[in-house]
Amino acid sequence: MRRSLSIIFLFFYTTICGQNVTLSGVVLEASSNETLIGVTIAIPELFTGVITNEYGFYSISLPYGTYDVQVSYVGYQTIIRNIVFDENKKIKFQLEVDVAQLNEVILKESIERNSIRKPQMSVNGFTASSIKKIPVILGEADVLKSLLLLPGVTSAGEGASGFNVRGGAADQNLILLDEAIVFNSSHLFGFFSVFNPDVIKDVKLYKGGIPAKYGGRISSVLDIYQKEGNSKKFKLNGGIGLASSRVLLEGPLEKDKGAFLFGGRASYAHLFLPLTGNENKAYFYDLNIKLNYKINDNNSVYLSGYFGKDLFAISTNFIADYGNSVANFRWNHLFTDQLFSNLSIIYSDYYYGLEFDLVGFKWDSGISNFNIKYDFKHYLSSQLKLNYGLNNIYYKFNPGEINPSRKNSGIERGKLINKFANEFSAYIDIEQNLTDRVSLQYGIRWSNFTRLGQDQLNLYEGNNAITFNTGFQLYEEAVPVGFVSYNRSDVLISFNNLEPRLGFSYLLNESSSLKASYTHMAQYLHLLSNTNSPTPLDVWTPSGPFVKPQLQDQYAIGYFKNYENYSIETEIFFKDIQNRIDYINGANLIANDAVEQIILNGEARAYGLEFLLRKNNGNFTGWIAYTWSRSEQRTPGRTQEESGINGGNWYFTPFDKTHDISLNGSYKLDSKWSFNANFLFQTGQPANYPVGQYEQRGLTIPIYGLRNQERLPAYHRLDVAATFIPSKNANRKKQSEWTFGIYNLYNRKNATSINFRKNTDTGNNEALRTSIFGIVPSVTYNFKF
Amino acid sequence: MRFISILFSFILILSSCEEVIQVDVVNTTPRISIDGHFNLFTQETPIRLDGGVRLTKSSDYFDLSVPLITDATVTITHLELGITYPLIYQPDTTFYIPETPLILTDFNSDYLLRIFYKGEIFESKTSFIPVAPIQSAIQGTKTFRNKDETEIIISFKDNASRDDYYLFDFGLDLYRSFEDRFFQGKEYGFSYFYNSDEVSVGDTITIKAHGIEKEYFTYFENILELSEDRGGPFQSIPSSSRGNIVNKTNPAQYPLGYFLLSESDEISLIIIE
Repeated sequence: MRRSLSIIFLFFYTTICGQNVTLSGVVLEASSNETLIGVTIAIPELFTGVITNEYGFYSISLPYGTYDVQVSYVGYQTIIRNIVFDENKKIKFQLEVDVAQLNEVILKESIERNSIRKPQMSVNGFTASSIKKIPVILGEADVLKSLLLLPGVTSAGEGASGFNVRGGAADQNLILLDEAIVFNSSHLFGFFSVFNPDVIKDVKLYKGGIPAKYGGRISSVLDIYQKEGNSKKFKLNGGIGLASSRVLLEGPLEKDKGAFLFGGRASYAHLFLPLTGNENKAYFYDLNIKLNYKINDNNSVYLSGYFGKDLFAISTNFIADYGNSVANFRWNHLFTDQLFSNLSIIYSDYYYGLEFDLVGFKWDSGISNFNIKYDFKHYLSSQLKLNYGLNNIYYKFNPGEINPSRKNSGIERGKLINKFANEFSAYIDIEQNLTDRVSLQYGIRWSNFTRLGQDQLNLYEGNNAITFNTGFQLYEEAVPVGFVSYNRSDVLISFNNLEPRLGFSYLLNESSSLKASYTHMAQYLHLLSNTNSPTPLDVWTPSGPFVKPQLQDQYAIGYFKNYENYSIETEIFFKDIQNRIDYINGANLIANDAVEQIILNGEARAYGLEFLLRKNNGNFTGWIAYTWSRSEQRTPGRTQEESGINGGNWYFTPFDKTHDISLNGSYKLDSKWSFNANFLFQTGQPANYPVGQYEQRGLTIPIYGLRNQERLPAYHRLDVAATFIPSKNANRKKQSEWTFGIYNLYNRKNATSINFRKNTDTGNNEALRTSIFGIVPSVTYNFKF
Repeated sequence: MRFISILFSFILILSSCEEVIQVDVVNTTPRISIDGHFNLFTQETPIRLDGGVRLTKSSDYFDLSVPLITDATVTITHLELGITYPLIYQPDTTFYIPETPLILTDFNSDYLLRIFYKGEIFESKTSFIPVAPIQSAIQGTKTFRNKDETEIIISFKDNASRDDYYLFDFGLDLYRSFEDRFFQGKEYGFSYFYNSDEVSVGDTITIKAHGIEKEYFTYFENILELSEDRGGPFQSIPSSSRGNIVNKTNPAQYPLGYFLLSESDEISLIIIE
């Protein structure tokens, strides 16, 4: 509490200097009227500037006078305009694409020239065009795969869904698509992400120093904005690749006022042809639909929808499908030149279904949420900006429903009990330049999570859902002594958390700064997963009477320096997490109606060092990222008698990677050819090797010791890609390009897992390494009309 | 977990390759391992008991076998009557079995297994777990993962008056366990698929159903998962597999394994074309 009071106190100390005129407006892409995010509007003479927000809006207060205004954005020609400021001005800037820069892969943040003095740290972003140039498996441009090249970002390996930020779990990432929460970011178990690269406008990943605007997940925020559509002319573009094809159609609803966008992407059905003779299917598709309309200078509305699906089938015997759906309506309103607001009304859900005819059942499960957000951005002066807002999310959890798949199956219809919850939050976040050298960003978020009434909530003796059998040294599911059914409006339990956020930067000189940040965050939803990487079948569960919210403190300090063509970023972070969930031995997570009987609350911690060196200009650009980190968790016994999980000892999380090196380089040869290469090296992920064997019913059973004591061999690979733009493209309406890629050039057999089994032919035990991708060449053709 | 490993098979189809590699493993001090299972076939006349207690020591993972213990003293006590029966080691089967098999028939009493070995006493107490008899096992024509599998459709009628857990033994150390949560009291049928290298035309296969308790269901699902090829990237963190036997002399030096008494039923059929 004292922390939050001092933040408020600081705010009142702020002097609001009398400045006289306001320059505001939007920055657009000249050919399409697409708003641009993160454009710098600088007034070099005054050493001040502002960056456009997520809707392309900017506002800055200036003293009377005549100044040069410089508008710059990566990949676009800089505008410098001399403007007389004798009254408030609204100016719409239109930026033209800079053809010379088109083929560069650039990590975006460096381009924002005054980022070095902003208190915001631990953020990286990509432009959409950069993502398309980074070589990836099967030539499918991919947001998540590109993120893995950043310091502090890893995944559990090939074929692993999700990503891990600074030693956090995959379920601790808040993934936002046009402000809507996306629960599953992967298609086909993580081979592809759900984000169609053609539709993406802007990608930003917060690894730390997360502003008070965001909450609900403790590890990171991946904030993705999609294009709104071209309100000048119809455009068709698309791509044909080895695994999938894409098409994007956009055009005006009313010229310069409204636009639509329709994007579709589908993998080829029966993508991975049957090798076993049975009819297998595995495919996915995505649809993106967007409409926007600018009512007047002060009001715009947006409607967007996303629908994605994956399907796997082994003839009709086994069918699994899953996907996200998102619909949202947004209204931008300018109260004044200095007060921007956005209201969002969002529905999103995640569904999975299984049909397993051989045992005669169908299974449906999912999570849905209804979300209202009202966010304000208040540009008080060039020294002081406020962000504040409210957010309310209502969740419905369907842990599962089972139905007979055929008449004679014998399976009875069954329903796991639905769960309901409401998450409310309010925040204020202040960006303030205290002196010429010192800037602050500080704020607080209040979050309230209420678990609402449900049917049949189990009661346990002593409120203890897990008992400990001291004789066998085992945790066991407690037998409920009864249950209570509640009304939907009843409150089972309510959690309140104040989440202070603090960022600080000190400008050492014009080109270097020191930054520090502290964030406290709460997470109320947990993904039940005790596999090395999340699967599409994992179920989300809310905090409640038995499962506590995860709470995290993160501290980070960093040093940032810009040279003419290079920049260096180094950061050290430390994270401490309370109430990280862990599972009792032999826990069954599938179709479990009383997960409180298998979950124990433990703790986790992660710390590390990140280093990033970038070269952003010239024909050769690229970066080197190195991360050293450690990520551990433990679940001690609740009493002296209990052993805890893993004997109560700390153990490496499955996503602990000691060393993580990524290199990306792109070289532009001429106007036709450009080349790109990635190299990755990561310490192998923690693994378990048996320490012995015993026999039971003729089975040979490996004995495992303490958790995650071993490691898989190191993971490394080199990918290369070449992009060719035919010369006939110049001055022609139809544009095309070819991208040729080779993934894992030296055909490294990276271990996805090492399994131990008894060879049924020889009768001997053996270790079996599974590796997924060897060398994979690809070609993709992209076109634009 | 089974769904997850089925999903994983898609990844394997994708383009993966599996290779046997050399791995160095750490070794620990051996523990005594007790495999104590008795199956009472109540549908047969006269009723029949099979099974026994097999004692081994755990060994290093890459050792070619586990050492047998042949010199322990093993007894089973009928706790209701207070009568203790010795179990005798049979070198041909490597099991310790009672001299007269039909001492283990009482569904209303607990039985105590006691093992004396090298100055330590190991104990476990259990009672018979009932099972619903197999109604039919017929050969089907469907296949699941590949074309040359043999389908067997097994059906039984679940007992509505209790929560049941089943262990099906298909021979060749192939098992499947079930709980009756979603077919309580119903007639239930499922398919099992033998690979072509497991059965061929003319073979007689015997399928057994054993009644098991909830704790054994959890235990067995766990050891089955540990012993199988386990889900690639979706493998769960392996857990230690404690059974229901304790070391009375030195509790920290706990034994591995389980003592289980099952009511059982079996059915045989000949594989046809």
